[in-house]
Amino acid sequence: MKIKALPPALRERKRYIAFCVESDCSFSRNEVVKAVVSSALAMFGEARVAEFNLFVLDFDEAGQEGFLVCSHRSVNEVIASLSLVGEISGERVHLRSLGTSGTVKALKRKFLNRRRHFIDSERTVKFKGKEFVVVRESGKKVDALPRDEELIERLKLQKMRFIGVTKSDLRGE
Amino acid sequence: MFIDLHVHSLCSRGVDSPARLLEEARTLGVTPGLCDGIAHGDVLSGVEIEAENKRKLTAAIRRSWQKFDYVLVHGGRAVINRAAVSDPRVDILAHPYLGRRDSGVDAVVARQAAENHVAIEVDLSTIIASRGIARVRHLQKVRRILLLSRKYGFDVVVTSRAKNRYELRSTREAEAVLLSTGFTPEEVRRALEVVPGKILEKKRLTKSEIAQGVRRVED
Repeated sequence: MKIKALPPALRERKRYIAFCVESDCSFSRNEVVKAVVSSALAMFGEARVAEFNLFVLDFDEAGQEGFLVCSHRSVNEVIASLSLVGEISGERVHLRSLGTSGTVKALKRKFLNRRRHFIDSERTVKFKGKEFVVVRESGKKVDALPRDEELIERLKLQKMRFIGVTKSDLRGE
Repeated sequence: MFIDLHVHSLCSRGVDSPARLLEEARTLGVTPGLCDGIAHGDVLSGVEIEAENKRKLTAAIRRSWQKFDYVLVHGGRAVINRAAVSDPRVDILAHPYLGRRDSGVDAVVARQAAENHVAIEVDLSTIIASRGIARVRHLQKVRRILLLSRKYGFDVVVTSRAKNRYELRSTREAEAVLLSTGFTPEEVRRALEVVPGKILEKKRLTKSEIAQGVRRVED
């Protein structure tokens, strides 16, 4: 038999936080959940995280965005935990928090599925006299692979794959 | 709004073009300042001076302080930290704790920083990059800097010290991180917004001087 839900007066207030993963590659739901939870544990410890009532509710692998729920008192700490995830599986990431809401419905309406996705492409371009292979584009943003050693080395140090330029850079403005 | 004065583009140590960083900063709602040591037209441009001793540091400051919107000194070594805060032409002493076991700021540095209006930087990327005991040690250094700033009254400025587009942080994110590291809400607002604004305003005023201490006033 399932136990009864908490009486309404004792239920605590929740906040839903939408977030997205910005990175050079995609991650599975599992990897993202692990990263969020371990970041919270690393920063705040088990006793504090127990008060957060933190659950990652949904993560859409195609859109690389999702949302989580936490207690209304721990919104700051949860956003800090998201923000302090610097890498997942050796790849540089930014878990960007998109917004906070009191209901899932409002969260979805306001913050989710609004991001423009990267579209794969392949062409060679010139920028500052050097050749690059464009890998993916999204609106003004263009991610490219460099060919010269120095930049490849720099990317490796940053745990990244592509350099970031814009369409206007490639037009030579 | 977060004015992030320590961002590197492709032109110095970064991996993204200035235009791309501006675009990313726009989505995050922050104003970036690129410190590549290159004047980027109408984008806020600063210089980060890295010098091996005091004499070379002073020479480098003299050469470049008027060309940029603000001047950072690459801190970390005790002599450089001391030299940077004793020069009023310097706007920010960047990461005084870099490569050190202590915060790099003592009472002498603190007093001089307050007197010469040199802000001391706390960067977010070191907090993000470290984990476990390393992050604990780092956060202790940050707390030490805060403690000294409350006593001696120098300005603390927070930057992302981003070398790539994924290290930039939005105002809300920076605020959340700082509140969990011991900043009060008032100190957060000062470090993200008020102090950078003050630095840029100070430089704008000195740039409009026609001779030392003489400024044309618009009426």
